[in-house]
Amino acid sequence: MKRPYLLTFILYREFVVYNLIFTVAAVPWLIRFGQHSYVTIGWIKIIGFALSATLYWFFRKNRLLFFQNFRLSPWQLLGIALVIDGLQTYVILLIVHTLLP
Amino acid sequence: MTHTLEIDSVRLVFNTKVTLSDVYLKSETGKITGILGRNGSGKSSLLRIIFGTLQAENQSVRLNRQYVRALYQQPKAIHYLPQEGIALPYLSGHQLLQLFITQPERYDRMLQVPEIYQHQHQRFGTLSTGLQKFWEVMLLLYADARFLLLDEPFSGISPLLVERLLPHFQQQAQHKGIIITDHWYETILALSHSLALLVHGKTRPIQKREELYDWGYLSSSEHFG
Repeated sequence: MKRPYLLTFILYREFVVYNLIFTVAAVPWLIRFGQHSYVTIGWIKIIGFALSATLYWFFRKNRLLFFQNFRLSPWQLLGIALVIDGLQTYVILLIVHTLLP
Repeated sequence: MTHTLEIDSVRLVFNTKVTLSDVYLKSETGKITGILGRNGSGKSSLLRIIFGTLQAENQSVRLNRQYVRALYQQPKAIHYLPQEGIALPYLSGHQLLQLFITQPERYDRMLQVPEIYQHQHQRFGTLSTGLQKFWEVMLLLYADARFLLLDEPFSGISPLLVERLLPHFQQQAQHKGIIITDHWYETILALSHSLALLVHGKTRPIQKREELYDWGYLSSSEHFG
């Protein structure tokens, strides 16, 4: 695996994969309430992301040094994680939306 | 071309206690700079200030005479190995090599080391503590950065593995500036081109081993023993 892909995989595993739980938790709202659920889904994702980031900061803060050795600051990591998580959520919800009758 | 890294004007205060106050340290590529000091003397804090992950009340870190705020964000500038290590346990040795070693000739050199070659397909978290530290030191020695900060790189490593690391230090120090701190003071004395002792938050340049007794870093019983 080439270096950038490997680093992206690590970023995903460290910062985004746990947010999948909150994306999955948002799916029933979309199924039940359709487009009226967007605000609720937004809040689920915001709370989920904030919770994951806080837990990481308290329990895995030392791991940030790994990324800082690749010149990535905590704010950059937060930004990258937000973008990847946002895209992932959009794609998952789009798929669910398409499959809805 | 020689690159220089200078640190001074550091003032670090923890809970009203001044931890660092009168620090001057210079590192340049091709040289190993040793830092000695008792536990709690501020060695690790100083390294974190240099790396850019700890902001002191006051500090001046200069790379090639240019002031930098977070050195770790400068391209190819610096790597830092803290005491607790950096590598993620789920990565394999092979993946770590791919991440840190960008130059093919250095990659090949790494694979000539038996401890690297034998464990390259193993997950990092399954290695013994000593081997993990050995791997991390080797990765950062051969990684592509001009400066390297090592905080107690020999702690937890067997004397045999420390001995195996030393030639790599000498070889990679030809291209890098290395700042190293450890309680293995004999090894630090042997490796370093220049040495500083941290006492009461201040750096004292050490020219002779006897000065370590004078400053109270080593006890006189060791001196006469």
